[in-house]
Amino acid sequence: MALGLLSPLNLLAGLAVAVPVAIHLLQRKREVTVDFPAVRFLLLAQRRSSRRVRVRRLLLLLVRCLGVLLFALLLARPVLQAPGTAFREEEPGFTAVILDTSLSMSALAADARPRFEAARDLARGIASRAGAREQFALVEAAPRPGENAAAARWLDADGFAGALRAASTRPAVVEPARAFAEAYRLLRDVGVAQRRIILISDLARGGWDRASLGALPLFDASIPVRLLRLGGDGARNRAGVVRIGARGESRVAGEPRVVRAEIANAGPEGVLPVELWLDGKLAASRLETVPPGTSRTAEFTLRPSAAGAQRVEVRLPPDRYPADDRRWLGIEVTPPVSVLAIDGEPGASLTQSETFFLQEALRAERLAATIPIHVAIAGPGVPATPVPAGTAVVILANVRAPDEKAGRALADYVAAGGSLLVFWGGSCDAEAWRRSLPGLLPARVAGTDTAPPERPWRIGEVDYAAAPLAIFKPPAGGSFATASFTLRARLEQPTPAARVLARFEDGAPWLIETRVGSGRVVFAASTADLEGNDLATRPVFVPLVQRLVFWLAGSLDEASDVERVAGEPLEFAGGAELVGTRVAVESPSGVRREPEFRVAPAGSLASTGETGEVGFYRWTRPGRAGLAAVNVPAAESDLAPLGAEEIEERLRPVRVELVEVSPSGAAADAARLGVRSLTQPLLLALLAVLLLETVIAGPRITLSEVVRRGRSVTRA
Amino acid sequence: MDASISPPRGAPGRPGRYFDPAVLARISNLTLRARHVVEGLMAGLHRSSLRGLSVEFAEHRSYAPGDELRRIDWKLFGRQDRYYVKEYEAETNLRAYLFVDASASMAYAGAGVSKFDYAATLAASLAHLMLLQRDAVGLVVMGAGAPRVVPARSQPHHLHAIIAELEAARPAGATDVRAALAEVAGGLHRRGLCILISDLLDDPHGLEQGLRHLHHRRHDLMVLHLADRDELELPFRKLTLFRDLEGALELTTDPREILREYRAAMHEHLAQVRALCRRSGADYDLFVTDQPLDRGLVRYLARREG
Repeated sequence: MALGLLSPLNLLAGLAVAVPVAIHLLQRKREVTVDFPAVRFLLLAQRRSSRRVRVRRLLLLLVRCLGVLLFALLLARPVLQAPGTAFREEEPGFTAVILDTSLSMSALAADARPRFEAARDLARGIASRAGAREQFALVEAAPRPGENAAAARWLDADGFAGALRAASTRPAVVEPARAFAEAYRLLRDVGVAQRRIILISDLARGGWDRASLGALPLFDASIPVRLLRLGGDGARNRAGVVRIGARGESRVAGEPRVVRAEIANAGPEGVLPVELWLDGKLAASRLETVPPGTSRTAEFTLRPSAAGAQRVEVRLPPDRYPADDRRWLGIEVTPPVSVLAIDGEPGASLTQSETFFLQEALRAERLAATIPIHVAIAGPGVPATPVPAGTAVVILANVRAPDEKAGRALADYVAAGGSLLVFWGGSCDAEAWRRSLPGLLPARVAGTDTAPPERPWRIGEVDYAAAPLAIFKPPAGGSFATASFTLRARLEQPTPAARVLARFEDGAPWLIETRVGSGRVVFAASTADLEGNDLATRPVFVPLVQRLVFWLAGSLDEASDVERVAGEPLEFAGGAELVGTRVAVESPSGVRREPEFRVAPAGSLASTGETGEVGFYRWTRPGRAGLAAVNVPAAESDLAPLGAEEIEERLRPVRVELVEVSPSGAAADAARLGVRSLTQPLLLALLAVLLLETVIAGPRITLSEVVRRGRSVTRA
Repeated sequence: MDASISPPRGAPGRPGRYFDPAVLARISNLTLRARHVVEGLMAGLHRSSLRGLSVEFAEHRSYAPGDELRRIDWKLFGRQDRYYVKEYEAETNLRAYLFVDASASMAYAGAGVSKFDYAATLAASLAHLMLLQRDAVGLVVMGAGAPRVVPARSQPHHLHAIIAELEAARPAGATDVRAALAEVAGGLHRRGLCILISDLLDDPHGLEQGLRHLHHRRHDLMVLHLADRDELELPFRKLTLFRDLEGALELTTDPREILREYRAAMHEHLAQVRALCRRSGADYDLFVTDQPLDRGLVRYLARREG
């Protein structure tokens, strides 16, 4: 702290010190004359008191001079201030105000206003008292998503007030390193003028506990930094929902789904009422025991009745920090997968059936456990009627060929979004297929080839980027190389839209896929039973069939029952076939983005970039739609203030002067912030000097004189 | 101004107002002022206080209600069976001299009357009282030059001579009390009461020598020391040039600075005067000029009654 003067010119009043000096020197000119009878005693008294009088007069002179100087100092408005607290008005000054816009600043103060409002008032108050040559830059400590903090620039007081009006809290964690780097960059550019940094924050432990400035690139130790902490108003977060997730054996409607919410209790009560809401309706409510200072996971079991994306919300009673009293989760509820299998050559026994191995594969565990599959068997001919509604996948196994009418029905089904899985076999008539399903298959079938058992074909190249084959990627996945093939379709050049998922060693396609309309067709060039290969006896068969079916049914996409946190991107994973397509994402406030699927190791990936809003984002892509919940960062839920030593640790190497500010009196505090007025102690000192002067000078009127004058008045 | 003062005769109660120097100062005629004081005093005292050593029987008169029973002549009652009261006639047996200081220092008047006015009033009142009692009273005015002496007489009209001398006197110059007392004492052949009314700012040794001289001649002595309140308390508040009333002494000072020492010096002086009066066999009393005058008369009466 250093001594400063707000009105230094008033120190000229100190020249008035000449007055007591003049009085001291010239007082003999101002005497009155009295003819007195007892001058002899006066002389005697004068002789006796001469030394004391000299000392007294000198003291009196000193005290009076001190009084005048103190008065002049009072006029100059002396203050104790930290370096850079107040600028000299006649010189330009630059103040970078780092405003904490993190979520914890939305906590309500004692007057039910958010802390951020008080912080804004504080910053506005500082600017309003600035000199005409002072400029400000607003650096938001939690910048808006997608915005660079470098957008800050120097503004006059009015412009700064406008920037403050536009600022707001956002569901993000404070980023002090970025904010300080920007502040130092701004101040470096203004040269060696009067400079300072003011950080206005609550320094809540939640956001700042993990803060670290690290090696600030433009750190300048000569720039004073003041930290105005808004706190001390008792704004404590009683409880919050800090994490949410859902788990279930099945995603199917009607099947149980367990929602888990982690409740952190910072309040004094050990029992908290917790509510679960589903699609805007109260689904469950219970009292949860969460000892103060701890966190517990509350579990709710849901049985969503309708298919589709659903909104799950866990609520706590409102408190001073409303941001974490709710937490959302979007869950996906799917209908059961219905598969229609057409057996082109039903055998006498199950093992001779074309569809036996397919049914067994789809009944096995893994995905089938979470997504029930209903398999309907028909055959040997393909029904000419439209495919039954709700059928997700139609499997044609060793079917000679659909007739023309059945072919049209299948084409309509696929164009409307249905999926077709074709297993070629010895009964298939290539010419009939070309006639009945023109353009539906990814490649024209020229005929059927066979190989001797001693020289079978084997699988060579596999596209592991394709979603159904991703899990087989070596070394973790199983191998297709051991399977032997003795029968296969002879395919011509695939269509441009077709994608070969797997080839034989000689390069002939085995699995080939194409999109037709809104649907998809996968052609397997060999049988699903043991007639044309022994794949059904290999470990890879069951997962291959399951993943192909679920992929075609649209159930292999990432589930939406994992929460996202604001500031993180929303990412959508898909197969390689989605590369180049877009997913439309609409934020809770209606802002729409359409990120593109790009090539990713596991297929494709689309990312929205940083999310800036909390709530439900609705997304849509070809054939699919859903909800993604974005929640507030749980780190911001801890509103306990950092201690002084912790602040020093977090902000190293920046050395700050900490000033506590009451949010309810922030505007009034702005005037005195950082400036400790010396008016009161100086006034007391002046009063003491006056009293001392009175004591030294002696009473102006004696008690007896008072009594005598009183008597005179009474007599009169 | 005189007309505004109601005559004290018959005025009930509040005898003190007759002795207030401020009130008396409004009476310009010293005779009236003396009468005012004395009759005011009488209004506050019983007539019996006039009964003194110098009274003797004059005649009998019939008893009237209100007469004191002790004055009834019981022997005559035994002979004539009627109540008679003895009437006495005062007889002069006291010769008193009033020594009034008329030095320049007596002219000082602080907030009220000057010390000389106070002294003159006191002296006139005493003279009036003495003459009422048929005492012989004389006056010595001690000012610049030789003392002016009015011989002691007991005729009532002698008061005029005393008052005329007092009114003619003007405080001026310095007074050598010792010389004045010695000079006058030489002419006082009969033993009497000497009352000195002065501010006693002279050399205490000279005063003591003068008093001892009178005491040696077997005179009774009373010293009525006059002082102005300002002299005792030094109430001045500004830087002041003090000029001595009787000499060439001057001093410029802030009175507040030397107040303590001044009061101490004044206190020492008063103690010294009181002590030397005691050593000289004189009754001493200090009068501040803002105090009522009757105290001096009462003091005299008390002494006269022994």
